[in-house]
Amino acid sequence: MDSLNPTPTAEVTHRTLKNEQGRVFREIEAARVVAVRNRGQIDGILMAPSMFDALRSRAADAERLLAALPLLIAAARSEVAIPSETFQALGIGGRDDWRALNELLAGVPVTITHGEDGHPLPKTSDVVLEHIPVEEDDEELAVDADAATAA
Amino acid sequence: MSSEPAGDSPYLHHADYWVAATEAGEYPVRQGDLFANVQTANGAHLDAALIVHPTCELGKASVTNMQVARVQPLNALPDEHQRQQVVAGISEKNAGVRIAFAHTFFVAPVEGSALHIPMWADFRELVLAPREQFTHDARIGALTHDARVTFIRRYLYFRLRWSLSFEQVREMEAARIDADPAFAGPRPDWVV
Repeated sequence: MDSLNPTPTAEVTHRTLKNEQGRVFREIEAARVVAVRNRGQIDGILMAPSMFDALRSRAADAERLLAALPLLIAAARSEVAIPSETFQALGIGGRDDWRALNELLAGVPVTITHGEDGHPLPKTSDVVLEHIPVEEDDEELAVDADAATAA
Repeated sequence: MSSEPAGDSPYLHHADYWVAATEAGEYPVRQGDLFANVQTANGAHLDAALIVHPTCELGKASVTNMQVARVQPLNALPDEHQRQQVVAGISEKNAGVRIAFAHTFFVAPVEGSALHIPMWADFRELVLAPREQFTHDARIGALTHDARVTFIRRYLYFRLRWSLSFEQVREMEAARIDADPAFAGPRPDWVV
């Protein structure tokens, strides 16, 4: 079985869930995904924490890939070398041409997802910035050159 | 007409970096402008440098030295992959798009000048240089208002790790210019 297949392999009813919690949780551990049925309809899914974490991680991977895809596709089409570890790993090369790379990036709607250190960037698009003009004081510091030298 | 990068791309098209030579005379020397053969305050020589000093400070008599960032040719980087990251300002890794070499700012060639080569400014190499050499006549390239937005945006990320969008930085720059009674030269068309 694919360890990330979210198809339920067992079912319990509301009544069983309520009355036999211990058994149900042991079943979740074994079956990994358990459907909760009520009056013929599935109205809930229970899954092992490890399964949930794995699915969440896969969703994050998919989201990242979706952000990178426009750039990767455009680069592959234009055969321009881009700084891509995925392309490097796949042996996909291209022309090492700064001009073509600059033009490609100026035209492809890239979404930057991570900072330089690899951590996800915080979403700042919703941050409202407001410029409040202030009058500057043109007074300059009067530095005592002798004292500054002595220090 | 103004230009902007697509999506989060850090840089503009190389043709949108510099004010045309025929119009550059209307633009005072500002942050982001490019100079060649810069002498630093401690006597060193830089083949090229970009002004990092805030534009509003440049007119003050007490400012005798200006902060500039060293600019180097792209081919000073022997590694092809690193050159690509500097030009792009980003890289793809593990299916994520991340900022690459945040301390760099890609500098497009200035056509018809001594610096008609792709370059990069190094925010880690900021030096002081006597102001008298930064004149209209000595200037190699006057950065366009739009490219200056990309410059400020890149600098903000390097300095403060603030990841703002091009639009957010441009909006702040527009408000700042609008409120600046001493602003000289042509205004960007995004200032109301």
